[in-house]
Amino acid sequence: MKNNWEIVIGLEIHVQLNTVSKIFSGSSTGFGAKPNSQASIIDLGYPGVLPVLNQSVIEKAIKFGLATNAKISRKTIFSRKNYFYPDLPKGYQISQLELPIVQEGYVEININEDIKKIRITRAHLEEDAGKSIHEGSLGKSKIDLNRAGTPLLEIVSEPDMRSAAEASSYMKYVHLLVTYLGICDGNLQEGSLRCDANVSVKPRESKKLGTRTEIKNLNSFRFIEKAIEIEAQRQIEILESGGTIIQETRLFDEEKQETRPMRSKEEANDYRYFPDPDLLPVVISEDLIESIQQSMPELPNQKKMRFINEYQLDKNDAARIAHDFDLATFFESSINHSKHASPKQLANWLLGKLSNMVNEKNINFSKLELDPFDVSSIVDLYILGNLSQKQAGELLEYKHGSEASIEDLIAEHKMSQISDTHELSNLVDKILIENKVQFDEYKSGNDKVIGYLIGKVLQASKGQANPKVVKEIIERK
Amino acid sequence: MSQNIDIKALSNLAKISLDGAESLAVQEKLLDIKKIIDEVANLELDSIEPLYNPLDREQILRPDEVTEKDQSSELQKNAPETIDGYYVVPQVVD
Repeated sequence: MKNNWEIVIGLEIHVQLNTVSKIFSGSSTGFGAKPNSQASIIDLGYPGVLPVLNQSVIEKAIKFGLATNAKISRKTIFSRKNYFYPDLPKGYQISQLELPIVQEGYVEININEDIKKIRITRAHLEEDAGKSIHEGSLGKSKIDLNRAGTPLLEIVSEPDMRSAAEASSYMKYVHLLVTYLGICDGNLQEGSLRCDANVSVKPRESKKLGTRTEIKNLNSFRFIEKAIEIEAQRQIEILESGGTIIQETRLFDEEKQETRPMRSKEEANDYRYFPDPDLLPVVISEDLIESIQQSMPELPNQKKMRFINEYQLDKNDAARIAHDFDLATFFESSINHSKHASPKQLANWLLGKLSNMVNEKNINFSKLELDPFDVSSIVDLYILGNLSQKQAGELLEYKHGSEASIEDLIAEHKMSQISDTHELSNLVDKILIENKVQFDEYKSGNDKVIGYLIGKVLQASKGQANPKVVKEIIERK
Repeated sequence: MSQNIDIKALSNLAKISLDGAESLAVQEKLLDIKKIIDEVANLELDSIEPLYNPLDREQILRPDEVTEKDQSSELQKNAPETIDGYYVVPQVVD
C-alpha cells in the first residue's frame, strides 16, 4: 500500500551565476561560443597559474543569502574537491566544504492553500566543469572546456519535502527567486539551473529516515516530478518485497521512464577535500553586507502580499502576477497610467486576454509590443463603456506591434460602441419582436431570460452595442 | 592508531599503477608520514582556531570583467589530439 509510505526529498540545486567572466579567471562565460574559445590557461589548469576570485560572485551569493533569511559567513574559504575526469583538467574542483558563504536559511513556498517552510542547509560557491561529448563510433570523447570555471551557487536543502509536487514547487520558487534577484538568467534549456534530488521512503509513522539514493541532472520541473515519483515507487516495491535500498547515484531515463544506477563503484567516492592553498580566506565586511541589503529588490512573496493589501487582489491573482517578474512590472506600470480602471480590473485583463496573447506568441510580458500605457488606455475605454469587451480585446491585438494611435485604430476598424439610447431603442424593438416567446417569458417574471435577449442585441449590433444601455432599455419595456 | 593503509585504494584514487615491490615501498613511506600526521591528530587543539592559509592576509577580489582573449589555437598545440576545436580523449562514459 503506497499510502503507508512517506517520500522524503532533499534537493541540491546548482545555479549558474550570471557574471560576464568566470569565477577564478577573466574568461567570458557567454553561452554557445566556439568550443574551447573561452578556456584560458587558468581554466585549463596550466601549471603555475593562480585563481583570482571574482568580486561579483561573492555579492550575488550574499544576495541569495539575504533573500533566504540565512547567515552570511564573515569569513569563507575555498577547498579542493579531488576527482579524476577529463572535463576537469586540474584534477580538482574548487568548491567550499568548511565555512560556506551562506548557511542555515529557509524559503516559504505555497503548497495548495498552505505555506510550507523549506530549510536551506547551506549555499556554497564552486566552479562548473566542462562538457564531454561521447562519440561511440570513434571510441573517443570530445571535451569542450568553455563552461569550466563558470560560477555556480550550490543550494542544499534539508530533507523537508514530502512529495514530488513539493519538490518541484520548491525548485520553481528557487528559480523565481534567483531570477528576481538578478543573479541567474534562469534559462533551464541552457542548464543555468540544474538539480540533483536525494530521495528516500519510510513508513509514515516512522521517525527514522530510509536509505537514500541521489538522482542526478534533473533539469526541468517536469523531469524532477516524474523522476522522484518513479524512484520512490521503485524503492517502495523493493522494501515491500523484503529487499534493501543501496545508497547510490542514479540517472533518470525519460524514454524508458526509469531510474538506473549511474556508476558501478564498489568504493564510495573519496574527494579528499582540503583548503585550497592558492586562495586566501575571503573576509566579508559588515559594510558590504549592508550595502547589498540596501539594494535588495522586493521579493516575490513580499510583492504578493503588497498586491493583496495595496490593490485588493485575491490571493491567487496576486500570486500569479507576483510570481512572474515581467508581468508584475507591467501590471504596476499599467496601474500608474490608468485613469478609470481599478487594479483588480487591470489584473483581470492581464491574466486573461493579455496572458493569452503572450502565450500564443510564446513570449513573456517584457517582449510584448504593447506598452502598459496602451493597455490601460484601452481598458479605460472599456470601463467607460466606449468599447465592448470584445472590441477592447480586438483593439489590443490591433495595437500589438502597431505604430498607429488608438484613436486611429478605433476609426479604422469602426469600433466605437453604441451607447446612444435612441439609436439602440430601434434595434432592441426589432429584436424583441423577433424573440417574442423569450420576451413574454421575461415579462412574466423570468429575469434570467434578459441575458439571452441582451446577447441577441449585441449579436445584431456586431458587438458594438453597450450591454449596460441595452439592459436598461429592455428593463424599461 | 591503525597501521593499515589501503595502498590499492590510494593508487586507484591517484590513478597510479604500482607493482608489488613499489607498492610495499610506498606503503612503508606512507606509514612513516602517517605517524607524523597521527601525532598532530592527537594534539589537544579544540581551543585553537584552524589556520586555513599560512599567509596572514585576505583574498584579493577582481572586478567582473572579461580580460582573457581566445588563445585556443595556440593552446591546442599542447594537446595530443583535437578535432573541430574540441580536445579529444579516450572514451569516458558513466
